[in-house]
Amino acid sequence: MAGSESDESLMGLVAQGDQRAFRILMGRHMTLAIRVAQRVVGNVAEADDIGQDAFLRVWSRAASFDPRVARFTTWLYRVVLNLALDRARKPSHEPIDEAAEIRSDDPEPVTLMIEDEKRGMIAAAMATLPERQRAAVVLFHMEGLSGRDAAQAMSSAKRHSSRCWSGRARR
Amino acid sequence: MTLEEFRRLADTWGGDIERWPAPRHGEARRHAATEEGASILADAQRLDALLARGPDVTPERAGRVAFAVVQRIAAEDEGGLRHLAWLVPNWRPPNWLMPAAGVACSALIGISLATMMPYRQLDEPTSVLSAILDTGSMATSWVTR
Repeated sequence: MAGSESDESLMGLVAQGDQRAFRILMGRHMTLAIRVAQRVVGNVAEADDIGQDAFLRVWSRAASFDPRVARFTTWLYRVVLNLALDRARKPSHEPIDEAAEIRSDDPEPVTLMIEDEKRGMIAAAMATLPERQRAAVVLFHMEGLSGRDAAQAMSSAKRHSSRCWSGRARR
Repeated sequence: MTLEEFRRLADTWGGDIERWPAPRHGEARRHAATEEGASILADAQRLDALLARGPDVTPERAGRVAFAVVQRIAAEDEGGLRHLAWLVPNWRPPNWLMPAAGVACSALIGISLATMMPYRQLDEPTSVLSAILDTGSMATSWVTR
Protein backbone atom coordinates (compact mmCIF):
# COMPACT_ATOMS: atom_id res chain seq x y z
CA MET A 1 0.00 0.00 0.00
CA ALA A 2 2.72 2.43 1.08
CA GLY A 3 4.71 1.82 -2.08
CA SER A 4 1.80 2.51 -4.40
CA GLU A 5 0.89 5.95 -3.08
CA SER A 6 2.34 8.84 -5.01
CA ASP A 7 4.44 11.44 -3.23
CA GLU A 8 1.87 14.06 -4.10
CA SER A 9 -1.05 12.15 -2.58
CA LEU A 10 1.04 11.47 0.53
CA MET A 11 1.70 15.19 0.81
CA GLY A 12 -2.04 15.76 0.81
CA LEU A 13 -2.26 13.47 3.82
CA VAL A 14 0.71 15.13 5.52
CA ALA A 15 -1.07 18.45 5.19
CA GLN A 16 -3.86 16.90 7.30
CA GLY A 17 -1.34 15.81 9.94
CA ASP A 18 -0.96 12.18 8.83
CA GLN A 19 2.24 10.98 10.50
CA ARG A 20 2.30 7.67 8.62
CA ALA A 21 2.37 9.49 5.28
CA PHE A 22 5.15 11.72 6.58
CA ARG A 23 7.23 8.71 7.65
CA ILE A 24 6.81 7.16 4.20
CA LEU A 25 7.97 10.36 2.51
CA MET A 26 11.01 10.57 4.77
CA GLY A 27 11.83 6.93 4.02
CA ARG A 28 11.66 7.62 0.30
CA HIS A 29 13.46 10.94 0.07
CA MET A 30 15.67 11.58 3.09
CA THR A 31 18.66 10.16 1.20
CA LEU A 32 18.07 12.60 -1.64
CA ALA A 33 17.79 15.56 0.73
CA ILE A 34 21.03 14.73 2.52
CA ARG A 35 22.91 14.01 -0.70
CA VAL A 36 21.91 17.30 -2.35
CA ALA A 37 22.68 19.24 0.81
CA GLN A 38 26.10 17.64 1.11
CA ARG A 39 26.87 18.44 -2.49
CA VAL A 40 26.14 22.11 -1.88
CA VAL A 41 27.69 22.62 1.55
CA GLY A 42 30.36 19.90 1.31
CA ASN A 43 30.03 18.93 4.94
CA VAL A 44 28.51 15.76 6.40
CA ALA A 45 27.24 17.17 9.69
CA GLU A 46 25.72 20.23 8.06
CA ALA A 47 24.11 18.08 5.40
CA ASP A 48 22.44 15.99 8.11
CA ASP A 49 21.17 19.14 9.80
CA ILE A 50 19.79 20.41 6.50
CA GLY A 51 18.07 17.06 5.91
CA GLN A 52 16.39 17.44 9.30
CA ASP A 53 15.37 21.04 8.69
CA ALA A 54 14.08 20.25 5.22
CA PHE A 55 11.67 17.59 6.49
CA LEU A 56 10.61 19.76 9.39
CA ARG A 57 9.56 22.25 6.73
CA VAL A 58 7.82 19.51 4.77
CA TRP A 59 5.85 18.71 7.93
CA SER A 60 5.06 22.27 8.92
CA ARG A 61 4.43 23.69 5.44
CA ALA A 62 2.77 20.76 3.74
CA ALA A 63 -0.38 22.81 3.25
CA SER A 64 1.51 25.20 0.98
CA PHE A 65 2.50 22.42 -1.42
CA ASP A 66 0.48 22.48 -4.64
CA PRO A 67 0.84 19.35 -6.82
CA ARG A 68 -0.49 21.29 -9.82
CA VAL A 69 2.56 23.56 -9.70
CA ALA A 70 5.39 21.11 -9.10
CA ARG A 71 6.18 17.51 -8.26
CA PHE A 72 7.01 16.78 -4.65
CA THR A 73 10.67 16.06 -5.44
CA THR A 74 11.02 19.42 -7.22
CA TRP A 75 9.51 21.13 -4.19
CA LEU A 76 11.84 19.20 -1.89
CA TYR A 77 14.87 20.11 -4.01
CA ARG A 78 13.87 23.74 -3.64
CA VAL A 79 13.50 23.48 0.14
CA VAL A 80 16.87 21.74 0.48
CA LEU A 81 18.61 24.20 -1.83
CA ASN A 82 17.26 27.18 0.07
CA LEU A 83 18.46 25.77 3.36
CA ALA A 84 21.82 24.71 1.93
CA LEU A 85 22.45 28.05 0.25
CA ASP A 86 21.54 29.85 3.48
CA ARG A 87 24.18 27.81 5.25
CA ALA A 88 26.69 28.24 2.46
CA ARG A 89 26.39 32.02 2.83
CA LYS A 90 27.57 31.81 6.40
CA PRO A 91 31.36 31.80 6.73
CA SER A 92 32.68 28.41 7.70
CA HIS A 93 36.11 26.93 8.19
CA GLU A 94 34.98 23.34 8.12
CA PRO A 95 36.91 21.04 5.77
CA ILE A 96 35.17 19.72 2.70
CA ASP A 97 34.31 16.20 3.80
CA GLU A 98 33.42 14.86 0.42
CA ALA A 99 36.91 15.35 -0.90
CA ALA A 100 38.31 12.93 1.64
CA GLU A 101 35.75 10.20 1.16
CA ILE A 102 37.03 6.89 -0.19
CA ARG A 103 34.71 4.22 -1.43
CA SER A 104 35.57 0.74 -0.29
CA ASP A 105 34.43 -0.97 -3.50
CA ASP A 106 37.03 0.68 -5.72
CA PRO A 107 39.56 -1.82 -7.01
CA GLU A 108 42.94 -0.13 -7.46
CA PRO A 109 44.55 2.08 -4.83
CA VAL A 110 46.23 4.23 -7.51
CA THR A 111 42.95 4.67 -9.36
CA LEU A 112 41.39 5.51 -6.05
CA MET A 113 43.96 8.21 -5.36
CA ILE A 114 43.51 9.75 -8.81
CA GLU A 115 39.74 9.62 -8.52
CA ASP A 116 39.91 11.07 -5.05
CA GLU A 117 42.16 13.86 -6.24
CA LYS A 118 39.76 14.69 -9.07
CA ARG A 119 36.82 14.69 -6.73
CA GLY A 120 38.76 16.91 -4.39
CA MET A 121 39.40 19.32 -7.26
CA ILE A 122 35.72 19.31 -8.16
CA ALA A 123 34.71 19.91 -4.56
CA ALA A 124 37.23 22.76 -4.29
CA ALA A 125 36.04 24.27 -7.57
CA MET A 126 32.42 23.94 -6.41
CA ALA A 127 33.28 25.80 -3.23
CA THR A 128 34.48 28.78 -5.25
CA LEU A 129 31.30 29.04 -7.35
CA PRO A 130 28.63 31.62 -6.61
CA GLU A 131 25.72 29.94 -4.88
CA ARG A 132 23.29 29.88 -7.79
CA GLN A 133 25.87 28.39 -10.12
CA ARG A 134 26.67 25.78 -7.51
CA ALA A 135 23.01 24.92 -7.18
CA ALA A 136 22.64 24.66 -10.94
CA VAL A 137 25.62 22.31 -11.26
CA VAL A 138 24.29 20.16 -8.43
CA LEU A 139 20.84 19.86 -9.97
CA PHE A 140 21.67 19.52 -13.65
CA HIS A 141 25.03 17.77 -13.72
CA MET A 142 25.09 15.89 -10.43
CA GLU A 143 21.45 15.04 -9.82
CA GLY A 144 20.66 14.64 -13.50
CA LEU A 145 17.58 16.89 -13.52
CA SER A 146 16.41 18.32 -16.81
CA GLY A 147 17.05 22.02 -17.39
CA ARG A 148 13.37 22.71 -16.85
CA ASP A 149 13.16 20.79 -13.56
CA ALA A 150 16.39 22.35 -12.33
CA ALA A 151 15.07 25.81 -13.14
CA GLN A 152 11.80 25.06 -11.37
CA ALA A 153 13.64 23.78 -8.31
CA MET A 154 15.69 26.94 -8.28
CA SER A 155 12.47 28.95 -8.39
CA SER A 156 13.66 30.53 -11.56
CA ALA A 157 11.18 32.57 -13.51
CA LYS A 158 12.87 31.92 -16.82
CA ARG A 159 13.03 28.44 -18.12
CA HIS A 160 16.54 28.73 -19.45
CA SER A 161 18.22 30.45 -16.58
CA SER A 162 19.56 27.31 -14.91
CA ARG A 163 20.98 26.14 -18.23
CA CYS A 164 22.93 29.38 -18.58
CA TRP A 165 24.17 29.14 -15.02
CA SER A 166 25.13 25.49 -15.21
CA GLY A 167 26.93 25.93 -18.52
CA ARG A 168 28.93 28.85 -17.21
CA ALA A 169 29.77 27.01 -14.03
CA ARG A 170 30.87 23.81 -15.76
CA ARG A 171 33.36 25.75 -17.86
CA MET B 1 28.08 23.65 -36.32
CA THR B 2 31.84 23.93 -36.08
CA LEU B 3 33.93 21.55 -34.03
CA GLU B 4 34.62 24.38 -31.61
CA GLU B 5 30.88 24.90 -31.09
CA PHE B 6 30.49 21.19 -30.59
CA ARG B 7 33.21 21.28 -27.94
CA ARG B 8 31.55 24.24 -26.22
CA LEU B 9 28.20 22.46 -26.14
CA ALA B 10 29.85 19.35 -24.69
CA ASP B 11 31.51 21.51 -22.03
CA THR B 12 28.18 23.09 -21.19
CA TRP B 13 25.76 20.20 -21.36
CA GLY B 14 27.93 17.16 -20.81
CA GLY B 15 28.62 14.04 -22.81
CA ASP B 16 25.03 12.96 -23.44
CA ILE B 17 23.75 14.60 -26.61
CA GLU B 18 20.17 13.79 -25.60
CA ARG B 19 20.50 16.39 -22.85
CA TRP B 20 21.62 19.09 -25.28
CA PRO B 21 19.10 21.55 -26.77
CA ALA B 22 16.92 19.56 -29.16
CA PRO B 23 17.57 21.72 -32.27
CA ARG B 24 21.29 20.87 -32.05
CA HIS B 25 20.87 17.09 -31.83
CA GLY B 26 21.19 16.35 -35.55
CA GLU B 27 24.38 18.29 -36.16
CA ALA B 28 25.83 17.11 -32.87
CA ARG B 29 25.33 13.47 -33.83
CA ARG B 30 27.17 14.04 -37.08
CA HIS B 31 30.15 15.45 -35.16
CA ALA B 32 29.95 12.66 -32.64
CA ALA B 33 30.46 10.16 -35.46
CA THR B 34 33.90 11.64 -36.22
CA GLU B 35 37.04 10.67 -34.35
CA GLU B 36 37.58 14.14 -32.90
CA GLY B 37 33.94 14.53 -31.93
CA ALA B 38 33.91 11.13 -30.24
CA SER B 39 37.03 12.10 -28.28
CA ILE B 40 35.41 15.34 -27.09
CA LEU B 41 32.29 13.47 -26.01
CA ALA B 42 34.36 10.83 -24.21
CA ASP B 43 36.13 13.55 -22.19
CA ALA B 44 32.79 15.13 -21.31
CA GLN B 45 31.39 11.75 -20.28
CA ARG B 46 34.32 11.14 -17.95
CA LEU B 47 33.58 14.44 -16.22
CA ASP B 48 29.87 13.54 -16.13
CA ALA B 49 30.70 10.29 -14.39
CA LEU B 50 32.84 12.09 -11.85
CA LEU B 51 30.14 14.66 -11.16
CA ALA B 52 27.48 11.97 -10.85
CA ARG B 53 29.36 10.17 -8.10
CA GLY B 54 27.56 11.52 -5.11
CA PRO B 55 28.41 11.27 -1.46
CA ASP B 56 27.40 7.94 0.02
CA VAL B 57 24.31 8.36 2.12
CA THR B 58 23.61 5.03 3.78
CA PRO B 59 20.08 4.04 4.76
CA GLU B 60 21.27 3.99 8.39
CA ARG B 61 22.40 7.60 8.18
CA ALA B 62 19.15 8.66 6.52
CA GLY B 63 17.26 6.72 9.21
CA ARG B 64 19.14 8.51 11.99
CA VAL B 65 18.31 11.88 10.49
CA ALA B 66 14.64 10.89 10.02
CA PHE B 67 14.49 9.78 13.65
CA ALA B 68 15.93 13.13 14.73
CA VAL B 69 13.17 14.85 12.75
CA VAL B 70 10.56 12.82 14.60
CA GLN B 71 12.17 13.67 17.93
CA ARG B 72 12.25 17.37 17.14
CA ILE B 73 8.61 17.42 16.11
CA ALA B 74 7.65 15.54 19.27
CA ALA B 75 9.70 17.92 21.41
CA GLU B 76 8.06 20.94 19.83
CA ASP B 77 4.60 19.70 20.73
CA GLU B 78 3.15 19.60 24.21
CA GLY B 79 2.71 16.20 25.84
CA GLY B 80 5.62 14.60 24.10
CA LEU B 81 4.68 11.17 25.45
CA ARG B 82 1.80 10.74 23.08
CA HIS B 83 4.26 11.11 20.22
CA LEU B 84 5.86 7.83 21.17
CA ALA B 85 3.16 6.59 18.84
CA TRP B 86 5.55 7.61 16.03
CA LEU B 87 7.79 4.77 17.01
CA VAL B 88 5.04 2.20 17.45
CA PRO B 89 2.24 2.84 14.96
CA ASN B 90 -1.33 2.76 16.31
CA TRP B 91 -0.10 2.85 19.91
CA ARG B 92 -1.49 5.38 22.37
CA PRO B 93 -0.14 5.70 25.92
CA PRO B 94 -2.85 4.75 28.46
CA ASN B 95 -3.91 7.29 31.08
CA TRP B 96 -2.45 5.31 34.00
CA LEU B 97 1.04 5.25 32.45
CA MET B 98 2.34 8.55 33.85
CA PRO B 99 1.57 7.84 37.57
CA ALA B 100 2.80 4.26 37.22
CA ALA B 101 6.03 5.44 35.61
CA GLY B 102 6.47 7.94 38.47
CA VAL B 103 6.13 5.22 41.11
CA ALA B 104 8.52 2.94 39.23
CA CYS B 105 11.14 5.69 38.95
CA SER B 106 10.89 6.45 42.69
CA ALA B 107 11.34 2.78 43.53
CA LEU B 108 14.38 2.50 41.27
CA ILE B 109 16.00 5.56 42.85
CA GLY B 110 15.36 4.15 46.34
CA ILE B 111 16.88 0.78 45.53
CA SER B 112 19.95 2.29 43.87
CA LEU B 113 20.56 4.62 46.84
CA ALA B 114 20.28 1.70 49.27
CA THR B 115 22.83 -0.41 47.41
CA MET B 116 25.24 2.52 47.10
CA MET B 117 25.40 3.13 50.88
CA PRO B 118 28.96 2.44 52.13
CA TYR B 119 28.10 0.70 55.42
CA ARG B 120 25.50 -1.63 56.68
CA GLN B 121 24.45 -1.73 60.29
CA LEU B 122 26.80 -4.15 62.05
CA ASP B 123 26.26 -5.89 65.32
CA GLU B 124 29.72 -6.07 66.86
CA PRO B 125 32.09 -3.13 67.61
CA THR B 126 35.05 -5.00 66.05
CA SER B 127 33.11 -5.41 62.84
CA VAL B 128 32.53 -1.69 62.75
CA LEU B 129 36.26 -1.04 63.23
CA SER B 130 37.32 -3.43 60.49
CA ALA B 131 34.69 -2.01 58.18
CA ILE B 132 36.13 1.48 58.68
CA LEU B 133 39.72 0.28 58.14
CA ASP B 134 38.80 -1.79 55.09
CA THR B 135 37.09 1.08 53.36
CA GLY B 136 39.98 3.46 54.08
CA SER B 137 37.73 5.92 55.83
CA MET B 138 40.34 6.59 58.50
CA ALA B 139 43.37 8.70 57.68
CA THR B 140 46.56 6.64 57.34
CA SER B 141 48.41 8.79 59.87
CA TRP B 142 45.96 7.72 62.58
CA VAL B 143 46.75 4.09 62.06
CA THR B 144 50.53 4.44 62.09
CA ARG B 145 50.62 6.49 65.28
